Amino acid sequence: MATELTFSEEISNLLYAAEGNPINTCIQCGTCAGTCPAVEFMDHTPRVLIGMIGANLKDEVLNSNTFWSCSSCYHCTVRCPAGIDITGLMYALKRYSMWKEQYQEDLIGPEFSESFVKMIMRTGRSFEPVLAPTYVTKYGTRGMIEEARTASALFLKGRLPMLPKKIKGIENLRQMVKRIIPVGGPS
Amino acid sequence: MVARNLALAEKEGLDFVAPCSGCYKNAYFTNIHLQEDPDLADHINFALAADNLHIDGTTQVKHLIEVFIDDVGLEEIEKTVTRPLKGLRVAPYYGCQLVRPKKDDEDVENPQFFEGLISAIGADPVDYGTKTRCCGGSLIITNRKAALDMVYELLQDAANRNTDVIATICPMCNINLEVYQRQVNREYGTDFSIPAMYFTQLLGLALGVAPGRLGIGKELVSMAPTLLFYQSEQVGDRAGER
Repeated sequence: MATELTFSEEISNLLYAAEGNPINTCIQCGTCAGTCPAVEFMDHTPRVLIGMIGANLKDEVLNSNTFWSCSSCYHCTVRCPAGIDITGLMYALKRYSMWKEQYQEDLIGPEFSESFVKMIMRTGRSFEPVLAPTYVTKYGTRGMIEEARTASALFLKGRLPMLPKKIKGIENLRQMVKRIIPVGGPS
Repeated sequence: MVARNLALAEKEGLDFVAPCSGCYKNAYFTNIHLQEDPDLADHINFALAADNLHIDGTTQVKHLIEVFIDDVGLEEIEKTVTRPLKGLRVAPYYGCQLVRPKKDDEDVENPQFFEGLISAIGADPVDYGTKTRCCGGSLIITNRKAALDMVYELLQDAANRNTDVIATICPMCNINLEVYQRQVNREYGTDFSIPAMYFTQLLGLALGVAPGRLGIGKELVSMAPTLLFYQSEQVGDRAGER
């Protein structure tokens, strides 16, 4: 009879194949928090979050905006004296929280990630004019006006394409991805 | 997805060059993982077979700036420059993923190769502290406030050092620094007007390529001061010839 993994073990397993050291080697020094350029927008610093994972505070971790505020700049990773790939951990937590469908309601990251992947599966390319409506409504009135001003300025300079382009062999790409990730329904 | 792009290059026997740091980082490390992990390579090749593709990991992955610095060489560039951008203060913006995660023994905190390229085209590289600090990347979509703050920090640092132009090596950084500069100004009550140019645009100017062919004129933060400078240099050169 298999024993159930703790949350901390589950997250460690997600990083099992990564290059860095396991997260339980963290010495809580806070170099990551001091380095992170987005730390003031996080509800917990990376150091605190790693401590929370160790303490198995699953709900608190998944409801945190910390990993969704990570811009993947790898500055913490290259500076971590314990050699932990903290950026890799943030990616792992994004995947885990989407897999468990547990995340803060007002975040744009999870929905954006989903619509982005769906778009790539549809056309093989990113196309902002179709993506934008999926998130811009969450910006509030002022943010939406700002984005509209920016978009129209880009359009006037001929920097916004009007029609999405599909890659050649998109059907083959879909078949390829299906061999790696089950995308719903029996294969 | 990355392996598919690498396999397409491999099929043609070509090197893989990315103009964007994020694409470069993903391609570079995917290639290494596939070379070092045969189980992973088997699994990926099973998927690629659905598209009649296969990957051996024999392709070389490079960022575009490495092509100019390592393959062409700074000496060669210096020799080819016809319009040196003398006196133009250019801030080399490395951003994150060109130099991170760490590859071999590279300098992830204070790299110098971009400064070398800027010197080679006759301009003055600006020494500033935030050259490898993040521009916010895709947070500009998913966490606008955080990203605008990160762009603000970079612009302020560049402005403090009397920067004429920020040179970028990634289209995404370029967008954040250039396209969102007006939003930063409105958000922070600042008055930044620092053009950001992809490094090949500056290189092209120094090589005498017509500005229109370099996409100059499509920017939201006017490059006019840079061009004015460039043209006055040309006039100066001509005067010298007479």
